[in-house]
Amino acid sequence: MLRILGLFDFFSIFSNIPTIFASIGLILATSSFISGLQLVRAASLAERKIHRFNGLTTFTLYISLAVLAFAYNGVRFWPLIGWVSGLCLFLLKIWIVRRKRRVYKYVSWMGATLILVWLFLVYIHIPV
Amino acid sequence: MRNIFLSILIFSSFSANGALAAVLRVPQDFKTVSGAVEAARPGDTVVVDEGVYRENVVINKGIALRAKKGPGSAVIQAAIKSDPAVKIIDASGVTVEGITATGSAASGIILVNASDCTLKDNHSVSNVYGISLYNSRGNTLTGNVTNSNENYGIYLERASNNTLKENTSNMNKDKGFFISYSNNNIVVRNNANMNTWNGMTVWSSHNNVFKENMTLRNTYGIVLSDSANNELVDNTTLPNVFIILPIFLVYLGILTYLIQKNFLRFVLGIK
Repeated sequence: MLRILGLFDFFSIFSNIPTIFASIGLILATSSFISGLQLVRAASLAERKIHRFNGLTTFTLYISLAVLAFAYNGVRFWPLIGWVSGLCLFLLKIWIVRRKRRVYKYVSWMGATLILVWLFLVYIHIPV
Repeated sequence: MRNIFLSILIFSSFSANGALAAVLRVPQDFKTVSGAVEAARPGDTVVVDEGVYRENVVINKGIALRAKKGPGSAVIQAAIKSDPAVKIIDASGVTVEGITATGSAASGIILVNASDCTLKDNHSVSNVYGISLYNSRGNTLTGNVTNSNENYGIYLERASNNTLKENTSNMNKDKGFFISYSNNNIVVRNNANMNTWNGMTVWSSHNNVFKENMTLRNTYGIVLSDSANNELVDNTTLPNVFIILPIFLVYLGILTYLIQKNFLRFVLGIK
């Protein structure tokens, strides 16, 4: 009889914290991006809460991943530049949204860029 | 006369059952594992308390070596890196249970010309080879973890009639299991995941049985080369699924958005 792939076995292949963090980050960034697009169309309290909650969580995960990366691998020049660039993208997006609410539709490009950041983070954290 | 005869009979019966076997404790009775092993007689048990023991243990008689507090508690770290942490040589009926063997540029645990030995619930990590069997027959490896070794997790060379059951050999930098010039082995319900090269490699080996093993995210799952009459039954092999992982995660992200939105709308009443 074919052995069924157990839940534990399935998760065991994701069994490192950075991969799990990066995966959760991409999931929430996607959700945040969709709610952000909805906010461009019309103001909604529910969408704003989703957008802010997911955005704050992904930002925290990003900082955690950066700290873990420096803890595991030490502080090196190019990784430092990469993490700081990603952080600047986050801060720039937040700054634009808070400064001028009418630029929402341009900020959607920023959101898409953040999705790309998370895609990259997932790929580089896949072990082996 | 009858009493003497009965006494001899009872004594020999106890001896045969191992009732007179001694238990040697490390570090209470002996400071080193090697010291206890050297002092032990066939049938004795060496029980190792938790701690890190920097030495190379050589077992050449039928004794049992056990970790007192279970797997991972007693660590034997190879003092001479070029030698195995635990070596079983020219012996029969040896049991090694719950020991962690690490730091060897050879093998964590090695069996040479050994037969009918049992390796159970040991961890052999961060060596060049996790567990190696050379010219050894009829041994049983159960529940061992051989992860993150430089070459192979479990390596058999000219070793036949062994049983490898429910071992885990993940994230080795070459192969999880490498069975070379070894016949009539039974390999059942093992895990060989995320190894850099093959999960399991069978090289010039015949009449082995591979049943219900799981090989995930290796370059190749199970590879048979120059081998005949091997039986493969109900093994699960999954290639590198991580190429599609981000797509799966984005899909989960969309689902998460819908769940969050409906939760806020219908449960909390926020629109």
